[in-house]
Amino acid sequence: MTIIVVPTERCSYKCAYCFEPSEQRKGLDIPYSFEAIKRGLYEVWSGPYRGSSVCLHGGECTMVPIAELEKLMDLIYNLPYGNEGKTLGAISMVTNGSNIDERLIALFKKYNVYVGVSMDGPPKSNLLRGPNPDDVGFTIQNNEVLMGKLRLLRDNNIPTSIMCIIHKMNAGDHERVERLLEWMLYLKSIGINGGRMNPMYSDRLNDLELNTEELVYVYKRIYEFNKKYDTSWNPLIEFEKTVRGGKPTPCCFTGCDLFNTKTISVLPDGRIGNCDRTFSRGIYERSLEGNKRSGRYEALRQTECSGCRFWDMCMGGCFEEGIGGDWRRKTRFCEAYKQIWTYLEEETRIKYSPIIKNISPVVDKQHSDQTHGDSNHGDSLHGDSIHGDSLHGDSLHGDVPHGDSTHGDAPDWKQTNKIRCPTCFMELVKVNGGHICENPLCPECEFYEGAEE
Amino acid sequence: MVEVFPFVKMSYRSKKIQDEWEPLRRRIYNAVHFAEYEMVKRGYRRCDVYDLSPNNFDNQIKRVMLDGMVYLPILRSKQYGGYGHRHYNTNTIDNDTFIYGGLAKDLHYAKLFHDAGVIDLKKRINNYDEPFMINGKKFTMNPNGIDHNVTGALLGYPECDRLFFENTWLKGGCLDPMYEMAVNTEGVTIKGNKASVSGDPYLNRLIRYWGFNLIPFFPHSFNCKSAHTFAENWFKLMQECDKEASDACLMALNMPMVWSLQNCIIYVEHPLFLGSANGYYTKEKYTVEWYP
Repeated sequence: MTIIVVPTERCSYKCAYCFEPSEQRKGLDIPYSFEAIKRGLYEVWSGPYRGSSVCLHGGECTMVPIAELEKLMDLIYNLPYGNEGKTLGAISMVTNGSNIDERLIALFKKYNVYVGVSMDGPPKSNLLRGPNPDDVGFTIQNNEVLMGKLRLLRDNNIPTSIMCIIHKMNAGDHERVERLLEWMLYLKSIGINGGRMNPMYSDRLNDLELNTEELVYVYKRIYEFNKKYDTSWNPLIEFEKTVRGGKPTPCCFTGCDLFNTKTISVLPDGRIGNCDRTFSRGIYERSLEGNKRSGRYEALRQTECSGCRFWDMCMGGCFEEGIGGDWRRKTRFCEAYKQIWTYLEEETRIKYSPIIKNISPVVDKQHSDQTHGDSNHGDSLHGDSIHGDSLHGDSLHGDVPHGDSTHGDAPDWKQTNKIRCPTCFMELVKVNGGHICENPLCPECEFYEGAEE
Repeated sequence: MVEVFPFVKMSYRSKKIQDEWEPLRRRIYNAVHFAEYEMVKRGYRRCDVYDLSPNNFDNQIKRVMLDGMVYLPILRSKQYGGYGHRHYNTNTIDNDTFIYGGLAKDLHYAKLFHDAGVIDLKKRINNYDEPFMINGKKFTMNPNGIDHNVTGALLGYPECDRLFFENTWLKGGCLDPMYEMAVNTEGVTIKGNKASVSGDPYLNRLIRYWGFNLIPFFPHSFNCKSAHTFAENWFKLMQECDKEASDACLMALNMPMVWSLQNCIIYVEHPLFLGSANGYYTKEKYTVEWYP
């Protein structure tokens, strides 16, 4: 499970596909209060989310004054973790990278920050991001500066990963994909071994979304790249793990709906919010009413996804990717995911013993179009009380910590032949003939033994 | 059968709106419950649906007895949040069970309400070989099952709306017929499955899932005159209980909003909040745009 701390909704970028347009942010202007965030974070930390990874997010989190940022890092770093006075001792961060400088680097070192930098490919491909994507020349220039920031991070041994959105402009054909892979190879050469490649979804720019064929192609290439160069680009690593029977990851395959997501946020004024993707619709606070059930999950299971053999590892996908922009529908990338999972199913079958658990061989009965039968109840209200909106018991953000860490990069990542945690890919420590993952941000493998190489 | 367990969820548009409206919304619930009960007590209608809560049944029974009213239980159901399209019948009684029944001023109507509502016909208290009268009109009891028409008449629902319920809900399977109500509304504009209406706010049922509601049934259209008369009486009683909350409720009902049903889920975009609730399965999406 992941907690994202949102110290500000403001952002210095105006990415073309951003799900939270800058006009909306301007109108929002949630007042920042360190004390309120502290209160909110402790409230969340005292419940089932205790022990989750905590990610500084935004907006652009580095836009808060550096003194405040340090206070926030100190707060997160010192969250109690486990017993015997231990603390979390690590932080993840997602940033557009524009404000990275020596002062921030010093903080990253002090607070063991895993930095996830948002960038969609080499400078000439990363054209939808930036302070002004309409100005191509300026955007390319800005991207060159950003590449310098990545080198700065790595020169200082800061664990770094990349949050990349793939779309037609950077992965729409063979040539573009090749450029993307070359860039990934360069990143590896400076010690950035992974990150995340999420498909772009935008109801404003849907002509730039990858179609099924394109998305499957680029994902297969990334999978092959991971294998060849021993990198850890997600979601391919997560997909492979899920196909082999692990818990569904990333978080968008865990049955969320618009009003109650698995990922939880602490807003600038300390209120508890949902996953930042819900911000696109103006939902900043978790539902006042409701229970643990996700109506979308229940509905999809019986309707659009009924009988799908990938249901247990998909659950309809991310609600924000819903077909036609409707959060109630299954993900618009359904067909692509099915194809890539089928491909991975074959690949893993060759690579590993047949332990594929999450894919059901049984196809459920298709839902019928029946309506209710006679009932003595037309339309009445019952027990519509506040249910307390309790937190989800279990969720996997996958992307833990949000910025990087799990897939990214430890300072010594360049070394190969390590035995690694299959979840976070950090080096495992040998204990009593087995191995354990000691990464405090790893969601599920505190005591993982016998990891495969 | 596709079915989503009843739920309601909502998020206010801002903290400021929430701070102002959430206390009002809680008070609106109280005012609605007051009106619902008083409509029977003061003789505006013969019966009311009255549910005994496992946590409060002693106070509820005391209130009924002291007011000289009659209550007959009909069935036990599992609890659920929001609006259910049916009861979740159970034999047990525990904290998760409520008792669905009918409240009336006298035993005669309580029995009629009971007998119209029981699923197991052997449990009917009386025989209904002969027609009987409700409010000066002749009725016969359905010999084969639940009689929604009799139930509706006892609850004071107008005839045109009972007929609408029978055609849409019972025969048509439209368990939440907002779109059908919009289509029947004078001045409606229809494009595909989207109906745009400017209806009577008293009859607006698009946001009832979150408590904003001045009428407990589905009018056949958003400008049904008979339903308006019912709603006016209801609203006056609500005002008697809490004028500020009742006026706020009317105000919320008169704001522009979009209701839609897709994939068994209802989603409403309202100027004050966004909300979702369980719906029912339709092959296509249906939308109602409401303008004041």
